[in-house]
Amino acid sequence: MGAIPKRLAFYLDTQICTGCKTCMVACKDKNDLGPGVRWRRVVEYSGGEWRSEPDGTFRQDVFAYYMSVSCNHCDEPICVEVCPTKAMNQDEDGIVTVDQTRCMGCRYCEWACPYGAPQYRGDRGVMSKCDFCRDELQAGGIPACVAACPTRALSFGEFDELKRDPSLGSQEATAPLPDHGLTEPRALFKPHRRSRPTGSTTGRIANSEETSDV
Amino acid sequence: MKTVWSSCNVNCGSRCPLRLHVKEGKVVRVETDNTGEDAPGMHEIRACLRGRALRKWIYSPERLLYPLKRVGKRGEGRFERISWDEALDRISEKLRQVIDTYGNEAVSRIYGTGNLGGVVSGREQIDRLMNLLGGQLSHYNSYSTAQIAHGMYYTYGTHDCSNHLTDIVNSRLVVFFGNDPAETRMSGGGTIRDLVLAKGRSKVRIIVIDPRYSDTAAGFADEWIPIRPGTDAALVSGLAHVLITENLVDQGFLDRYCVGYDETTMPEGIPPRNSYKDYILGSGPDGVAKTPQWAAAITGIPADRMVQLAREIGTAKPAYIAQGWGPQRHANGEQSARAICMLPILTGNVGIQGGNSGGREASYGFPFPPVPVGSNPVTASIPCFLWTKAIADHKNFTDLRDGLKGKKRLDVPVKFLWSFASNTLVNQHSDIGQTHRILADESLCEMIVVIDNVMTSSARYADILLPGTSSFEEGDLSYQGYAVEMGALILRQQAIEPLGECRTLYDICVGVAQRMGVEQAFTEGRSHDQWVEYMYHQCRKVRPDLPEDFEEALRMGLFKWSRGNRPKVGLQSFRENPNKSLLSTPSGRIEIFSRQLWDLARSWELPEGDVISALPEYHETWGMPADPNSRKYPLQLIGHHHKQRTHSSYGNNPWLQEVAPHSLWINPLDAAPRGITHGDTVRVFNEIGQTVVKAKVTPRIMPGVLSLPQGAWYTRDEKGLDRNGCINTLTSQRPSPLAKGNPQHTNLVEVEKV
Amino acid sequence: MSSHLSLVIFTLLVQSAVGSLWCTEAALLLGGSRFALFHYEWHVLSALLIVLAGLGASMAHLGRLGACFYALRNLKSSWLSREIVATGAFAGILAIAVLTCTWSGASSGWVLFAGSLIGGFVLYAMARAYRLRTVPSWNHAGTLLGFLGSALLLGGLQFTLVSNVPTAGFGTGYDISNPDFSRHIGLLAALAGLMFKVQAQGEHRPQTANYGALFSFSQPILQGSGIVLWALSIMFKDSVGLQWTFLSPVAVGLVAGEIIHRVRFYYIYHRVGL
Repeated sequence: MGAIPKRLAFYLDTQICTGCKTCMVACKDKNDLGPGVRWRRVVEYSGGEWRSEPDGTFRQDVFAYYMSVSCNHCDEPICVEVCPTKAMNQDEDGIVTVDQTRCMGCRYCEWACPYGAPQYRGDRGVMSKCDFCRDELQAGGIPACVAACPTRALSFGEFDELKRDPSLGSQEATAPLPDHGLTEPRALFKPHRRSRPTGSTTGRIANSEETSDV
Repeated sequence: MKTVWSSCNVNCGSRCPLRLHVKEGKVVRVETDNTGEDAPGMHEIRACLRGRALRKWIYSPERLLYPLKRVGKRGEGRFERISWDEALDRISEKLRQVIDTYGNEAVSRIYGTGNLGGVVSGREQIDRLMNLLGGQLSHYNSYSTAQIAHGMYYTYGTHDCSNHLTDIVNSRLVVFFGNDPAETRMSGGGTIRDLVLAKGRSKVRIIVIDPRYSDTAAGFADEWIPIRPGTDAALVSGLAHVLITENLVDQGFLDRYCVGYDETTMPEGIPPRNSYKDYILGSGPDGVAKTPQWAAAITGIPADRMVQLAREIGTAKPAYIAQGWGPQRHANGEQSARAICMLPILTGNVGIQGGNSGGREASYGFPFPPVPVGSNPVTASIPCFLWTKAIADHKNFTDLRDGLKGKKRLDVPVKFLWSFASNTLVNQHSDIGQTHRILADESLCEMIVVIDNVMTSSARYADILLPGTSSFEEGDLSYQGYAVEMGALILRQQAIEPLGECRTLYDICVGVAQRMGVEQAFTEGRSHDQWVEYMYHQCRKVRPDLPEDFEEALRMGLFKWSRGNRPKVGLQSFRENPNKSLLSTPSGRIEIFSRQLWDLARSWELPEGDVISALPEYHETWGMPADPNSRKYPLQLIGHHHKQRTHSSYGNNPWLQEVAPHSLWINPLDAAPRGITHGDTVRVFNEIGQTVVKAKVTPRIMPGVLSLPQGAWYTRDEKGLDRNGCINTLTSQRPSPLAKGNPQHTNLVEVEKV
Repeated sequence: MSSHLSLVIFTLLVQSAVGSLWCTEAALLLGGSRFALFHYEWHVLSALLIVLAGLGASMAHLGRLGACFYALRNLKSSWLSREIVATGAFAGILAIAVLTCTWSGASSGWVLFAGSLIGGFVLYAMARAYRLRTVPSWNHAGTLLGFLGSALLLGGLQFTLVSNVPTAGFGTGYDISNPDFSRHIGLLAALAGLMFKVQAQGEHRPQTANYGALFSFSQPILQGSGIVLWALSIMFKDSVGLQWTFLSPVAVGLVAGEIIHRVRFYYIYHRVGL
């Protein structure tokens, strides 16, 4: 069993994420997830206005980009903070996991997490979530989603090392992600060239039916 | 637990290796290529979401497991189980009867691409069988490229003359007309990966021209220019007007390499003022100057933006201008395809590094051989899109009217249809209502044999329905796809026992061959697996570096070859020496004005409104805004390719349905007056049919245009209404003028909330 | 967010119990010797039963009931854990009060006083549990004000109804010396509750949920008219029949309004981010 470096983080190059959802499916396949359980979610954030001109032409400022998010294994994980049974825990390697023998399925963590990471398993009545493919890491492999990504938009590494990437750009949160200060997510998103700052209302999440059941 | 190599074999342009983890006879996990260092040029050929979801397809509760015989009416989907012997007996008897009564031209394998790239498992087996039995009526064209293949053939002598996509690292500007590799070339080893790598290295400016803000636009476009469907030739004409009037054309190139740009290079015997320049400037027969203002009203693109774009294209040297296969899949698709090629032609961007012919990006691969099919004694060949006419109206099926090749007129109707891994019978062909009427009449086509994995809408029309093996259940060789810049060979191992009584196509054909007395000729003494090994050794003739020992090759499972250093430049030798390396056009040059088309336009029997022209011209057709029908059905409808499926393959996969639900794209400006909000159930309808689907209200599609992704499985409820959003309830069977191809993006519809 | 009916029932019942215990405590403190015969044990028993019913309803919300005992584990950081412990302690105190009443005929005033304090903490913990920093539509003072309002409004109603039971002639021989007083306390509490709710409404940020006019206006109409009717019922204090004629629709209106209001509370759940 290999040792997992502490403070692993996902790194998404939003510039080249095409919203293909291969990461979602690879995760579902590896973890045998049932319907409605999405440990990784790809969000489409889009917006823009159209103006029709008298000569039958159009002007527009449409934009769209995708972000693939699983669990950010935050430095201040609100799910761990609020879980009444201490089923949700952050381990020494920084990975946040849910102990399904402790979980009573109250779904409070689901209410709290601004990334939608805790996912309810209807068949067992407990929560489930991304565990950074810890078993793969221990065997010397890489997370399933990272291995799957066709454009190589998704990668991972040690958080502080990743932050030093000179091409990373601004590390401010971009819409539709929430402000980083809420949970100090340990994940990096290289901003899309059309990205909007967090909290922006110029766009909206356009595919909520794909990322959740609400 | 064992791990075997396998592949995903659908019609997506790619061919992705899969690593299947098999435990106790069941596949428990699907992974993909992980060989090598993932270095660009020899990178991992990573399967997309569809290949990764294969477990849900293979083990679908809807898998066909036993041979079935129809008991109800065609289309009802009522079958009873029969034995393999009975099934093969019935097929062979009927085949014999049809051939004896009508001849081999009455037998045909319908177009189908649900299983591609597998050498021994592929549709070629049926062709091989039929060729031993006297042949069959064959088809030409595809549902993907009919119009562009024909259009570019008349311009360049071929439509396979482009540069590799990675060549954009050498370009100053990239312009994509309706090209969306993010959704049509999704393999992590293929075009989309190449686009990422190239864009990453060069930061070249990319412009996407598409009615839809596609995922390619989202990921890569520096600018999106929305355009009304079917009006690409108008845009090009407007751009050409600027290029010509502002002296941005490469006159030297046009004089030396092309025919028909202006009077100086027109072919002999053509009346004056029929050159391209005349057409654009308004001195041609129609007297209309194709100014940006003229084009603006047609395309929806503001004239000032058009002028700017023309100057960009005219001054960026070199420019990589390419088109996908969307613009050509229209009633005027041949014109659009040829027109888009005019941009690199006018600016001299053909045949140079960093340029492109205007066609779709080139591929790379080794010419690994297909299974030998022999030769077809029947010379008659029909456009693949007109198969229903060959059944219902063969007497009027002619060369001058319907593109019949090899004969002047069909003598017999098609009485026996083979359908293998195909959903063309119903789902993917236009105007399902019309097809239903033709197929429901059993006196027309008398026997339909369908071989498939699941009960598709086409399978419901089978007389004999046979369960085929899936890629997990059958070993084979898979060659690299064409949407890739690497060579590859996958040795697919059989991972699990066939489910139920599923059989390989090869074994099904052997069963028929036995009954028809051609078993030895068909098998050549080899079993299915022996054929795989035999074909492997044929591959070694192409790549002698492959291991001599087949077993060793099986163990290694996957072989990849990089394409070498330089991205391919299409037509490079022609550009370097046009007098030595002639094109295969009649003049040997690029034919802006095609004499062949000039003659065709005057000899073919074309219905009112169909135009074939020697020059690439803009012609508005039926099904477009000027059609009087647009008063009732004011919205244009296209059907983009959707990542939930590959065409209709995998359309019942619950994982894919969950991550990429099927929906109709509609702009808020069209949705709001109709009271439609995101997620509403809506009915899309026109005079041809109707369908029900959920709405995706988004600014990512142009106002006045809807898009209903093609390939959804046609599913009638008790009242006969399709509730699954199948676009082919609405499309027309009227073929395009030149290629006789499928105009499945040319539709007018209306939509209302249900 | 689904309707979470079980949580609607849980929160309303527990809040009602707390409120009615407060009214009981107020009656004891304000009444003094005039109400020596005030039989508070009925109120304590009804509060206990209501709390237990509420806890039962909350269990319907859980995916895995068997693990519910772990819910006491995260007092260190989880307001939900604290709320659950507090509610349990509240029920426990009530049980002690009921048992001491049953065995020794009276309960220590300190027990009821402690119960009232714990009840207050239950409300506070409940509100804090909903005040997630990632849920701005809940994370403001209006949440606590709304819960306080419900406690007073429903608690006042519960207190009055229970007080009226003997006067409806259920034949227990029970005699309350001054039913008017209980009605006044109850009515005053309900009135205060309604005012807290109005104040809570003012704290709400603009919402994006498109619940219709029915949702928005029915609650204030039901509850406002309920209070008015209740006040009118005082005029008919001598007629038991008329009392119930008035109090029945009052109860229906106030409870219906509470259910609507609480369902809407869950409906407006909106989380930042994804």
